[in-house]
Amino acid sequence: MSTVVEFCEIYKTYHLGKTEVPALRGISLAIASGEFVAIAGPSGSGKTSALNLIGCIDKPTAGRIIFAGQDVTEIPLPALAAIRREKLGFIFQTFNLIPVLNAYENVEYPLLLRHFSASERKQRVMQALERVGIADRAKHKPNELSGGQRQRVAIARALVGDPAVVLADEPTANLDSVTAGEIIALMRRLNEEQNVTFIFSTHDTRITQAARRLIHLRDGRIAGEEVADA
Amino acid sequence: MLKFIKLAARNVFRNKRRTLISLLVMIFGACALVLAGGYMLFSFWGLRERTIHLETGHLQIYHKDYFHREEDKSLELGLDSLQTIRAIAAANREVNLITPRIDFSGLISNGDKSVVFLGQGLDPEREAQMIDDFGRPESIMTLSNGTEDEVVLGAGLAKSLNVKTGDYLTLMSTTADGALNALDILVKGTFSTGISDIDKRFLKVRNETAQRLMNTARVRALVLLLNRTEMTEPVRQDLQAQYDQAGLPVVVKTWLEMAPYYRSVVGIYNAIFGFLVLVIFVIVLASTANTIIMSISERVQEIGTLMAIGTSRSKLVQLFLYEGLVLGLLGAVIGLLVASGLSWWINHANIMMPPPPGWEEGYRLQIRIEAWLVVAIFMLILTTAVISTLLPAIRATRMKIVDALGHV
Repeated sequence: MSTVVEFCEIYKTYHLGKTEVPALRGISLAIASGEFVAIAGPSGSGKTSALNLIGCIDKPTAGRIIFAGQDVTEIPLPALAAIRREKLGFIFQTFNLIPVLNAYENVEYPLLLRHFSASERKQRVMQALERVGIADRAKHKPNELSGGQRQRVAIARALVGDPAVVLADEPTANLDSVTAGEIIALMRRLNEEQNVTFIFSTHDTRITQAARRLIHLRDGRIAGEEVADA
Repeated sequence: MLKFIKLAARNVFRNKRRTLISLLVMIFGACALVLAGGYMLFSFWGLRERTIHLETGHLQIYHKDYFHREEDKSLELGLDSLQTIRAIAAANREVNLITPRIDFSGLISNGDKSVVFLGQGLDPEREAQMIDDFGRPESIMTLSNGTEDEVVLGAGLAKSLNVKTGDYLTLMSTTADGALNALDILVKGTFSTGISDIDKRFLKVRNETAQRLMNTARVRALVLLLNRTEMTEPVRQDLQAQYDQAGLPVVVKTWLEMAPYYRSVVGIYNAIFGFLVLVIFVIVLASTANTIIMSISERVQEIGTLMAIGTSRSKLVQLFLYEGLVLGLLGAVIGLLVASGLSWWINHANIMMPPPPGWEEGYRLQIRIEAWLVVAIFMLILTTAVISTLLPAIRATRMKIVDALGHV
């Protein structure tokens, strides 16, 4: 399997007024295509910072990030929009659907940015909605959907453009335990059946147990790593 | 693009009350501009037509040197070859009426007192035709075509000379040869221009009387009334070319060149209207910007999401501009419809305005709507709405995605 994300001695420091707050302190890691990886750790351990950097929505203070074979460290943030659009899918803790769009339109939105034809958009959107089991709710607005249904729509939106990596920031944090279990099972199935690469940041032990690979962060450093048996 | 405009339209109506307030501001702005602009156009039209029918005609034909040098003798730079000049003008289909005029000056005396006067010779019947419905030609119509020389006096001049209709006065002036001449003249009535200083000096006689006094067959100018005001310039060019070709030493002037008062009124009105446009522009700008800023501040996390999933900054600015466009389009269309309704009502409500200076009676308030005015107001509101969106939209795209995503 080829490497899809590579961190080389990554540092990330935030500035709060005159105080410097180190979030990541020299992390190096590599994630291969098709992996189901969870980044776990207590609050402030740097997992969200790491996910932001993989997602090309933030820049490291030092170090190099290779994403899908491309050094993204030197590319200015606005220009990274194209990489996010074409190679990344995002799943958020609070679902982050566009409230004025229905489920179908929410999933269709990333394809509009990529100028897919109307027929291809329709085919891909319906396929994505079916894959997450929410096709029957296609015409419903987010406020007409349950939390679990919203997260399914968000997963469909993340998957619809066939991204190299899907990033999920605490995807089950706002769901009840039953729904959270269903969402984890769904993502796991998509990983196994369609070889979609998933990278999570999470507290949720159910996700860490489901993960094939678990990276522990503490104080901005990798504190340990577990790989499940095949 | 249609999908993004649809998205913008839905965003516009997220907060209906706020959008309604913005729309009301735009509707108010459109109404204010249409009513003020329409009243201005009506005033321009009224003043223009009054100026043409009561004073200047559409075109005036003078000796070509009249505006460049002083005359040594009366009517030295008057018009000869009247028949040829008339014939060329009359051949033009747009020319409705041709009337000659003479200006002259001198002394007028009641035997005890002599006063300086400014006189106008005219053809009462043709002048009455030219005045049409724009005034009352009663005073000049008293000048009969009989054997006696007759005059109508400005009200102030009549008062100064203490005369009434039926009294006789003596007119004195220099002839075209430079000699002094005098005529006994019968007072047929008085008139008022509305400007007392003019009324104290001004009198009108038939052209024949003025020509007899100055011992000449010349006139100062030929005044032409056309069928359509908008044909003034083409007809001027055509006539001037023909006169030049015929070797006639004349110049054709338009009513606008001969109407400094009209030009200054238009200048003042335009300045006032320009200020009103500026005020409306600022109000609509502030209102729309407020709506968009509020809308953005409520959607920070959503903006972060849109950027995270690959929306470029330029696309995001475009999305917000569409929102401004939708808002502006609605405001402009509804505003112009409401303004049209209001204008129709005003035009049919028979609202009488007091007489302006120099007018004998008031006039019915009218809002004159012309296509260019509607298009200009539509574009102004639309453009203002879009411009007001630009700055907040650009600021929104400068947010850091991670900060925006963390915003609650």
